[in-house]
Amino acid sequence: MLPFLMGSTIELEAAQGWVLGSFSEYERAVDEAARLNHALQTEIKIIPAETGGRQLLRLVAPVLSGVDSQDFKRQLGNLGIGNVWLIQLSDQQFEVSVDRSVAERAIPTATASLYYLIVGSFLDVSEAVDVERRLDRHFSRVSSESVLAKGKVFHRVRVGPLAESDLDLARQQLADLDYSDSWRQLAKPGDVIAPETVDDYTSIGRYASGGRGAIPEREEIEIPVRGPPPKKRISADGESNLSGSGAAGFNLAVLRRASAVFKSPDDRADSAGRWNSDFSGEYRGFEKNGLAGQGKHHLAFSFQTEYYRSMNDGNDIFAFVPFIRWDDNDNDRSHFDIRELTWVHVGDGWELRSGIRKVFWGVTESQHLVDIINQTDNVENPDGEEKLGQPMINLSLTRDWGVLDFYVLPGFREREYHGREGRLRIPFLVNEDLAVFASGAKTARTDFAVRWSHYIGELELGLSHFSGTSRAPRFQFLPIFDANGTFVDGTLIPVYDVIDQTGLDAQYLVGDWLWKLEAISRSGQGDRYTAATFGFEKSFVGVFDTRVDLGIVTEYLFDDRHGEANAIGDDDVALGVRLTANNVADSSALIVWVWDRDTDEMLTTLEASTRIGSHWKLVLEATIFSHGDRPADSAPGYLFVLMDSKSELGFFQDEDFLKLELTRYF
Amino acid sequence: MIRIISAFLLLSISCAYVQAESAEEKGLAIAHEVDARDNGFVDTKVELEMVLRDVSGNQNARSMRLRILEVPEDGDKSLTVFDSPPDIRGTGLLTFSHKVASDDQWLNLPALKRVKRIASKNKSGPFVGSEFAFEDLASQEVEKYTYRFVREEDFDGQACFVIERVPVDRYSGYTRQVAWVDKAEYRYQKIDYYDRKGSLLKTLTSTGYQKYNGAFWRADSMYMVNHQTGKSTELLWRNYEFDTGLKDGDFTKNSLQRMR
Repeated sequence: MLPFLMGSTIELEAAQGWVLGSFSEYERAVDEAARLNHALQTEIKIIPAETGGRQLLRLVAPVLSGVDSQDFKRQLGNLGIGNVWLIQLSDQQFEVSVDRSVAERAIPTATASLYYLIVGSFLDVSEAVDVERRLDRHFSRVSSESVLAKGKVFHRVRVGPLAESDLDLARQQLADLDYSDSWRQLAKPGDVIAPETVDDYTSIGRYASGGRGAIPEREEIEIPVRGPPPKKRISADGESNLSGSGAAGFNLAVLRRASAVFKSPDDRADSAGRWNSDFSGEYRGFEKNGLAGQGKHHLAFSFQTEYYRSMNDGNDIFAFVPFIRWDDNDNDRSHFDIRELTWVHVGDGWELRSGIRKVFWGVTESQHLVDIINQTDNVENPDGEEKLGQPMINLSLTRDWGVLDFYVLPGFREREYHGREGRLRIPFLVNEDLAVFASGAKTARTDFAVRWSHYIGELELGLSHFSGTSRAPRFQFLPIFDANGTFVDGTLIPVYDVIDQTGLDAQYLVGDWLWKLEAISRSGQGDRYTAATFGFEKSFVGVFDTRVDLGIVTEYLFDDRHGEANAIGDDDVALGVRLTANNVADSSALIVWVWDRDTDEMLTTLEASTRIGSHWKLVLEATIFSHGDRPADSAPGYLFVLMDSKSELGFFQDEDFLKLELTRYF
Repeated sequence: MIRIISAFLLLSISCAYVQAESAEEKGLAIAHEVDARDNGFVDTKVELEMVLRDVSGNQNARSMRLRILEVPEDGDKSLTVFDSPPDIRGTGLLTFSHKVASDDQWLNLPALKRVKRIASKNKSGPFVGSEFAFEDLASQEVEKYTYRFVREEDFDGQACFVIERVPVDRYSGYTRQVAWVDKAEYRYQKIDYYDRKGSLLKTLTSTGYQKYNGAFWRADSMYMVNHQTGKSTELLWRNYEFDTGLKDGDFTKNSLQRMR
């Protein structure tokens, strides 16, 4: 086999060369050059060129006398290389080298050589393993290698690789542990920390090429010491070590990828906190004006940022997530919230999470009965999916019989309601200042919750209990009369009861059917009542021979307060269809119909989203309220609808809207 | 006499049968060897960058971090967290794979703070919109296929065994696969995938094999090209680390929610 990249700096022997390919990336060029060198058994040069304003690296095989060009082209054809053309080599001034020893010399001195400290050589493998285990407690990098010397196999235990400046300290530490005879060994090519960027090589310019790089000696036997049943892998001859384009030694691309030998991906995240932000613009267009004369076009913006920092190897996590919404029409919709301000400490089988956090419980899609800890951010989105941050201290214990979570929830967050110009509200305004609390401590009250969850094969279960102020208030109606005593308007006053709610959530996976159940029993807000959601989700992978997945969700919503005006979801059927395109832009669409069997009203929502480029996301939402009875346009008319158990969506018949939201991620 | 002759015949037939290793046995033996070569890594931490290309040369990238835990006598546990694109940052996937039974899989949606159990019986769908299906990236257990040795052939300058493998799972998107395994180190060099109609669908080439911890070969780069659509996905694996001290407790719903 001809030596890879042999030749002097100025090539005079071969006047011409075949251009086999051009690459803009150094790594690809080197990989391909190695592959071709191996396959063709001929020298491949990498020559920088500029064409059309672009920097390229050309792979060139010098034309050799005695090699038939038709044969050579056929060989290339077999390798998938069709178009080759000749260039004059003597015109080339620069050549990119892949000789490791040369590149190492050329590496800026900031990158020092690395060394192992060999602690000892043992004939007995178990002795070596013992020493290694012992050192493991004191040093971050301990390894071993087996070498054949003087006809015997020795197992060397070593510490490192270390920078030269760290060697003395390591030697001292080893001496303290009674290993005083350590000696240093230069770390081998595969272990060397290479310069951070490939540009460090190509910008060096012109230097001599030659040689093969370090190839393990023929006699070397490697027996891995770590891990269960060690397998003897004997490199029978030097050939096997050269197999593949990734053979160690002469491939600088290999050296570059071997960088960061010390740092794990998570460690890198450890050292510095990360900020991730997103900014959204939202347009909502309503088909009609609101009952109180609200406008049809609404513009709003929101901004959220997240600071995340992980420390102590992921055992301590800090996060801060502030959120702000600004609404052009409705001042009461503009708000600021701290979604998260939390510290999580991870122990062995337990976690302590404290600060402002968000917790989600539940398995169903159409409504979330069991989820109770966080207050709904009612002005953000009518679907109730957005939540306000809740202060808490949460201890989570993981055992064989499940995960047990204890929550102490100091402080209560009131629900916010739309102002006069807001849409998707009932025509009476809610006066939050007049809110009534069953608890004497009002918003300073500390609530408690506990939850057990476990999974056994395909069955997942959760049992929870919450005791405290209800997140969803009841309302008292305060009529407003004009000078003549005519009933013209009203105010709704939120009443927050203290409740006890026990929740059950269960999920059972059978093939590609996912059966779901959520059930609650609540007391303290009127009589004790029970509500449940039961349904299934089925997914079809790749429908009609395309990449598109189809998911179907069907759920039945039940509430035994049937007949009371308060109960939404008292006898409803929900059907949802989701299409996932599985494309590069992660496009998906979801359409959901919720039909109230009792009142015949229907709510239809459509949501479609896609990514644009890599930093933008576009979401389209449409909501249609139908089959309800629109109230008569007067205060008594509204009051009638408010009290009517046969009308749950009466106020929203004119609230059909289309929403477009564009988000930019940073 | 007849008894002796028939006994002798029986003996010679059985000897002849034992001597000729069938193509199925040889294929299975090769598959076992590939699997055995990979045993004992204990756990892995690695970064993955995925480059998706379409026919026009448009490129999209995804990056993620993976953690894998070897489970004795069963399939591996893995935890994948996405770092980019930014709208799916923090989304995580926890998988407990099993030798024959379908995997247990959970998806973490950080915006909703919700961990969803997902059905993973059918793994033929694309993984995050790429040309790799879930079943292509899942832990490759020997029991998931039946094998047949085809021939010996060189690929990319290396002497290889060519084996054909047929998925056992009836939900698989493939009728068969043909794999080139190099004789030197028993690593997959190339795999051809044949779709449900039996036509060649995709080819996976693994290059840049490095040896880690003196024992485990891992490819730096995997290139999957879909011959029918012309699209391709390249996986670039970086910063492999083995035996880092991961435990079962690092692969739970709680740990899935913790990682962002």
